[in-house]
Amino acid sequence: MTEAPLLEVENLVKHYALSRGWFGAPRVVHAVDGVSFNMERGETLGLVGESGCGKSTVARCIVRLIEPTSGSIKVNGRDVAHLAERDMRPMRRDLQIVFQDPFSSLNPRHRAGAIVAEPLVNFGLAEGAELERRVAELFERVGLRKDQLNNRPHEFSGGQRQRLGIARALAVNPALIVCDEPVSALDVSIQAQVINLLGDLQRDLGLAYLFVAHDLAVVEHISHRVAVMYLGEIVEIAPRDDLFDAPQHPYTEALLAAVPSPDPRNKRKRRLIEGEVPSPISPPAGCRFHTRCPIAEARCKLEAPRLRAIAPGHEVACHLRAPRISGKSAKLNAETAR
Amino acid sequence: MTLAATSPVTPPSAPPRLRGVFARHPVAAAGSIYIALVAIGALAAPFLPLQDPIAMSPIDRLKPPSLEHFFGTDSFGRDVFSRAVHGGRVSLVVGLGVALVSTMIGLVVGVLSGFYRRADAVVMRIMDAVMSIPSILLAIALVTINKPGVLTIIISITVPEIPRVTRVVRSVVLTVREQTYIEAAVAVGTRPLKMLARHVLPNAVAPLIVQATFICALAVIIEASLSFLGAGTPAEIPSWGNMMAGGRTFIRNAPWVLLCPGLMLGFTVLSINMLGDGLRDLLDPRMSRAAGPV
Amino acid sequence: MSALLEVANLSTHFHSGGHLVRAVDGVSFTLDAGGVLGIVGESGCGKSVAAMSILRLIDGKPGVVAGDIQFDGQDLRVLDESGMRKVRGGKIGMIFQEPMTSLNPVLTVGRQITEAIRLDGSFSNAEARDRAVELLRLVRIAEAEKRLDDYPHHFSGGMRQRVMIALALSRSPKLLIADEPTTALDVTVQAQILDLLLDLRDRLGMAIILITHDLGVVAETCERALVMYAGRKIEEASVADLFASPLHPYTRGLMNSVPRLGDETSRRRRLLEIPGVVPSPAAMPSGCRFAPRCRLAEDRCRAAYPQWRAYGAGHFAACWRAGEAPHD
Ligand SMILES: Nc1ncnc2c1ncn2[C@@H]1O[C@H](COP(=O)(O)OP(=O)(O)OP(=O)(O)O)[C@@H](O)[C@H]1O
Ligand SMILES: Nc1ncnc2c1ncn2[C@@H]1O[C@H](COP(=O)(O)OP(=O)(O)OP(=O)(O)O)[C@@H](O)[C@H]1O
Ligand code: SF4
Ligand SMILES: [Mg+2]
Ligand SMILES: [Mg+2]
Repeated sequence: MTEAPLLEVENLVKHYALSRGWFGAPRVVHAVDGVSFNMERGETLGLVGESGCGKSTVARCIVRLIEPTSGSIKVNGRDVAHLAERDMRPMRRDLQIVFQDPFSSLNPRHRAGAIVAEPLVNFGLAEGAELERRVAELFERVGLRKDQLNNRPHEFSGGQRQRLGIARALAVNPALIVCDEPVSALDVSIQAQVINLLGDLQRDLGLAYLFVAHDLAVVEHISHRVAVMYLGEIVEIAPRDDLFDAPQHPYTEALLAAVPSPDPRNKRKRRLIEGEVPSPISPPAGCRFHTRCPIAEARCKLEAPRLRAIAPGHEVACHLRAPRISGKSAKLNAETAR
Repeated sequence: MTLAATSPVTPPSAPPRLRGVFARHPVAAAGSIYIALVAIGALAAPFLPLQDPIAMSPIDRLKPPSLEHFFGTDSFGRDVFSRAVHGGRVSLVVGLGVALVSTMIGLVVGVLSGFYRRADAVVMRIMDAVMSIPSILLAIALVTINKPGVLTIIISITVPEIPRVTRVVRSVVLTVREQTYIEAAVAVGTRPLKMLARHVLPNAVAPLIVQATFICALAVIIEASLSFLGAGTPAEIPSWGNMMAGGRTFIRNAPWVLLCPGLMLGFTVLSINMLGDGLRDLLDPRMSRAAGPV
Repeated sequence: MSALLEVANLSTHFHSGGHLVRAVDGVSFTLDAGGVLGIVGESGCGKSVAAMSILRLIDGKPGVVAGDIQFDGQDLRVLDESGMRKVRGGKIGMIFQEPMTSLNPVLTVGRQITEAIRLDGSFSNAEARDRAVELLRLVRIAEAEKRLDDYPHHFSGGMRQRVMIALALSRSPKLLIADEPTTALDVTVQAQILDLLLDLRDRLGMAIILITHDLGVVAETCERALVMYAGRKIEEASVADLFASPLHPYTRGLMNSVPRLGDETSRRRRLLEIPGVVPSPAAMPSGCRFAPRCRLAEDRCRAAYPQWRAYGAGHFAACWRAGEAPHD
């Protein structure tokens, strides 16, 4: 019998109901609409996509800060999607999260040392002098000074606060850390340190990361596989090299083309996708990208494409780039598409 | 314009917080001193060399203030000063009692309604209903359907004050609940009670203390009003309210009977409010920060 | 024509943990109307504190320690508080680094924007609402009119950041101070937002101070950039010069530590770090503050702070060995 993957997400759906106002119809935000993927131990899966497309929602569902509307989330084979908090708590030692906003994710009243100590105390992992030692060690690991143990969050800069958040997540030695834009707030030199740190930890401890980020260069650097989301759905998922060398979905192409280049001579060469961003309250019918897609056809407006494999591990949801054909010729088709 | 001209860099010294606040807040200091005096007087009244507050002496009826009777005597010849000091006991017990009980209950209700959407709708409607009745009327109604006594008074005054506390706590909980650090605490396995104690309630302390002092002052007034109306403290126990009620008929020829307890009431309420202001500054998180620009 | 903003010798110091933290230490720069200035530097080097100091938003005892801040003919250091309030959010718009804590969690997004707009006094409620919708559209919030009545926590991180941008732009400021305005945005939206800002610059002559650690963003949007380290300005140049020939070892380190898109050799390799951490305020080196981490450091670096010197037209740096190392 083979071991279950670390994480299996199947058909994850999260809808948020918004207040209906006084007269309006009830509004539902289709934040995540049927997302599936697996993750192995020690693997980094990059998750990218347009702002507001549901990445954080996926991240929060996985660590069960919110309950998904439907779907399953199996951690080591156990479905946590609808566990009660009491049963969820022991699972949290394996699942940690680093948040996007390093400002509001630290309690401003607590001292830095206490923030990092909290998980250790909660799970009874250390106390007294041992606790102090572990906290000091974690501080050192993420590049904070020990004399900052007693400072409060407002005395740290943005990047320093994010390192506190990483130290807190590391404290319980989790198997998976969901990183919701952990380096967005960091300057490049610290970003390099943190990315290297995450890499070292992965090598030493076999950690897996679900790595949400906007900086595609960072994602390219850190990930084994990458998933691209658009408006609540995964539109492409592939091994890192395939995705960056031969992106298939038109949205992935657009995303890669929009990356600012750190070379002023390359200024304004970017191609931007046109059009109004559709809203997750009333997502377009058919392919959700069709309103902005440069290659859309009539069929795209009517029929929603499903994720189809075009190469081993490379799946794309696009009528044109991954047409519906029998499994064998799918690979061939991929070759010609390039 | 230059660096040196405008930067008298003082070495960092952390002044004792209480002293610092009182130095900045002489008003609060004055308030607390007055309250302390009243409280000490009330607590120690039985042991102080005061005249008997209850024994009547018709010969000494309605004597004006003198060395023998600082505040004069009332229509039964009882020493007004002694009665006023003793009367502080009722005010103190009622004020503190009401503040404490309403804060406790309001805290629990507020936390519940802040955290559970379902409970919220029901609880807040009830609270609105309670608040829509003037508290003094509600208190009178509650007093009259219960046995007279200090406990009844405390309960009767507490009930109408609970919504105030509930609202404060609820709004704090609602604000804090959306902070990511709450989610972060959930993610690292913090249990609900610890979550409340460590992450939510500390934010409520400052507004609660301010509310509590306010309620305490209000309770003192309401107790006096109830007693003044004859619905409060039983006549045999001296309280500022019944003393004022007793002095009402003699306001023309013996104003001291009414004025002395009245002034004590006024000063006490004022002092409690002044103390509340000071506490708010003390507890303001911005002031408790270790650092500020030079 | 005189500059729109002239900051001279700005210094902001804190007392913290028994030390004097020189968060900003004698920083000067000027910015003309319609100019775009980038400020980059290590986390904690004082970029945000500098920005907040300009607006006198440092909490605790008000006011910055020292320096001269001339904005649009006004001396912001001595302006009274009511005048300052008019400047904040009026002539100077500020996008704060913390998108969640800068929005009021218990007020709807629409209310917060309309209130900001109405501070002007020249808008009716309905007009302000229309303008709020327009602003949210400008920052690419889908179905803006439907989302006006939602609370900040109903928005994603990037959407909140865009709400902040809309707030900062609500009163057509002359100067926009944007502190990491696009960190939470994906590259397509980021590109659109930066285009929007540049468009406002072109149409209204809005000047922009862009604080960021994304060198790509600086390269694409700014004209001049200054690099800060440990509270001091260490290099300043036109963006073209800065990227073509960075002089300070720290600037070079910054540029080398960025992973580049499509660089197959770098995939999953270690990134080049600048070793070490920013010096602690308690043990601030007396010479060059970068010396403990600098590969080129020599005795004179540790002995004395290097002078601020010009190396070519408009290219300045504070380094004893500026430009010496091969550009690797
Ligand atoms: N609590 C909530 N109530 C209602 N809608 C919500 C809530 N949280 C998120 N949403 C909506 O769900 C959608 C997805 O949000 P999410 O935070 O997952 O986006 P994201 O991909 O992380 O974006 P970003 O890159 O900007 O952080 C957005 O349209 C957002 O407005
Ligand atoms: N209120 C404060 N009290 C004490 N020290 C402070 C305070 N605010 C900021 N600092 C310190 O001032 C320095 C500069 O902080 P600042 O927030 O300006 O950094 P930054 O350059 O914006 O960094 P980042 O890129 O991480 O946002 C930091 O070392 C920080 O610890
Ligand atoms: S001055 Fe010296 S120590 Fe400082 S950066 Fe230049 S070479 Fe390095
Ligand atoms: Mg997000
Ligand atoms: Mg900053």
